[in-house]
Amino acid sequence: MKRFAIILFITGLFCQQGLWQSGTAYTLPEGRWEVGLFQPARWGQGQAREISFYKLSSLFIPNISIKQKWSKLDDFVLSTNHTLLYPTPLLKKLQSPLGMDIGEPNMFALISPEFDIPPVIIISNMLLISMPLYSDRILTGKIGVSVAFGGSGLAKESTIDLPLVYHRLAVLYNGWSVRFGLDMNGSIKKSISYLIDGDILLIPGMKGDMAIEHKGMLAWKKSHRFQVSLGYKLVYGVYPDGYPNKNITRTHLLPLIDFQWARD
Amino acid sequence: MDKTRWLFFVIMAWFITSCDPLITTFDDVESAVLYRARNTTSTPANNSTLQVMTWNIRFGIGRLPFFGDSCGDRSIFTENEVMTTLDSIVAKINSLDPDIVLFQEIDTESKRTAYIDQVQWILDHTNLNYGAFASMWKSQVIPSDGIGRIDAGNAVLSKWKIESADRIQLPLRGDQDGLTQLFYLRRNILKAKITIPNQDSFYAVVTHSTAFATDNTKQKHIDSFIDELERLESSNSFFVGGGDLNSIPPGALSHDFCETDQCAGDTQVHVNLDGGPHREGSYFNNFDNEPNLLEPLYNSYAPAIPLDIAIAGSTHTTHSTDSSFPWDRKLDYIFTNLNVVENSGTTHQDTRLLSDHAPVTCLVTIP
Repeated sequence: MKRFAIILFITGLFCQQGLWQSGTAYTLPEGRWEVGLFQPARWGQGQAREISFYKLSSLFIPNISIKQKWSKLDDFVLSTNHTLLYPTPLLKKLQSPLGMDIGEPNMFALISPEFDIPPVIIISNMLLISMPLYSDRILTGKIGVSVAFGGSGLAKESTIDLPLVYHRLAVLYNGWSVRFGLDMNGSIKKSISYLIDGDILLIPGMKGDMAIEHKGMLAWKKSHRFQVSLGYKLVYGVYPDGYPNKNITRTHLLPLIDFQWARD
Repeated sequence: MDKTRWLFFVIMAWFITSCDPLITTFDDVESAVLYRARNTTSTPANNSTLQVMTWNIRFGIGRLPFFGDSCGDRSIFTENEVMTTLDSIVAKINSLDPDIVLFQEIDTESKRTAYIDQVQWILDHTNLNYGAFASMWKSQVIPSDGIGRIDAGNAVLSKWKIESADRIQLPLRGDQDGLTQLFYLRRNILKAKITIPNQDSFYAVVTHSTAFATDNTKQKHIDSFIDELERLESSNSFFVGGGDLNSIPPGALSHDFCETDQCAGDTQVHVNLDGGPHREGSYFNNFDNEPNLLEPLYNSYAPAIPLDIAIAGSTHTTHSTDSSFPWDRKLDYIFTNLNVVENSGTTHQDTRLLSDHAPVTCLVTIP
């Protein structure tokens, strides 16, 4: 009983206030900053509002997200997340990361320099609902829609047909996409928590119109201020093909690691 | 183990075991990928001769300006562009109606050619019924020039069933750094056993030797090809073998095409008398005896085009780097340990807009 009470307390401390858990409907406490090596930087801007952005990639893909907690009904927490992305500089950089022209050789170019990249923005909106379950777990359901503006001039041959990348950028070519997801957060010990999630990304009307992603992460909290996460991501994706099939499926297993620091 | 855990374990095992490698490497010898036309056509019952063709089809982009081999500035081509060229290639094949075709630079799963499986497409649009394919360049992504996913290689297509086919790995280029080599071409010999009526052991063998190596990698590739043909010969098998050997015939008038192949803006062009480094793929005297690499083949087997005819004039040149140039060197060959019907060897130079290589055909007599 004592152990259960401790777990419940930790859950309340670390989970229900959204600490270290960007995927839930909870927002960070006001004034708290969390910065990850790969995770976005998050800031509790108000009691029910969180602002986040990717740091290094912001140089090439200016972005900002605002998560607003709207209500708490019984144990349910409802939030919406709104993201604005301007990927044009990144796409242009990926045409020539080393500043080479085509054939020089243009190493690490993932998009052929022959294509024009127009100014384009992505707006994503997501609804999140979190609810606590038994044994200190939190279940979060998500549904989101992304729309892109300005991508009509993009050649469809300029896609990057790689896991995680293709289905996230597909909205540029298709104009819209939808996403559904479920996250399960919980704790194993006082200092060890876990995250298991699953997401479905759909791009109706486009070749390679679906991806199913699953993530498993273990996180070790050294303190209130530092956390190390280790895990994997499995991606089952449908990608564009030509003749005789319009689509092809691929499965990828990718390692995940992150270091996160916090300041209240 | 309860049902939920068992199900979780099965799903995880499926995911992990089905994961695809980023870059595909190959065993020294492994089975090639076999194909069959969507609708097969009837096969000749008792031929006394076979028509054999070799063709490097430049992955179905015709003479469009690919960055890798023609001073071009493009790496990705549209479905419409590729289909237009494939239509012309198929029209040429159908007009000749060969029994066996040795293809080089044929794409099956490449972003650069709209992911069209060209082996399957050609099978579905010609009288050829069966195919075998061996990848030369296979990766989920080539992180250079936006090439992306690729699967390109050699193929044997035949009217008769291909009983089995082996992909035989050739040595990698020795003049590249490790990272470049990791993502670079893995050239091969494709050996297909074809079920021809009244023949116990008939093979078609195709290869595509290195074009751009400036060390002796090409020597190793040609030696391996000769070894493979000798093995077939010593086992009393019949074969037709060939492909784009990227070698000039012994006695060819020129082995230096550096000036011809230079791109606009090239500042340094090394020609024969200057010493090196020479333009990759344009110079055929990089190591001792390179101009005579093919001598053992001419000495041991029957060529589609006899050597004296091959080096006389330009009737049988098969390659040029630009469609505005005439064909200016012979790189494509067929050899066999059967008899070639006299004067049947033809270089189809009317295909200058279909590829940077002309197809070569000949008739061989079946015993």
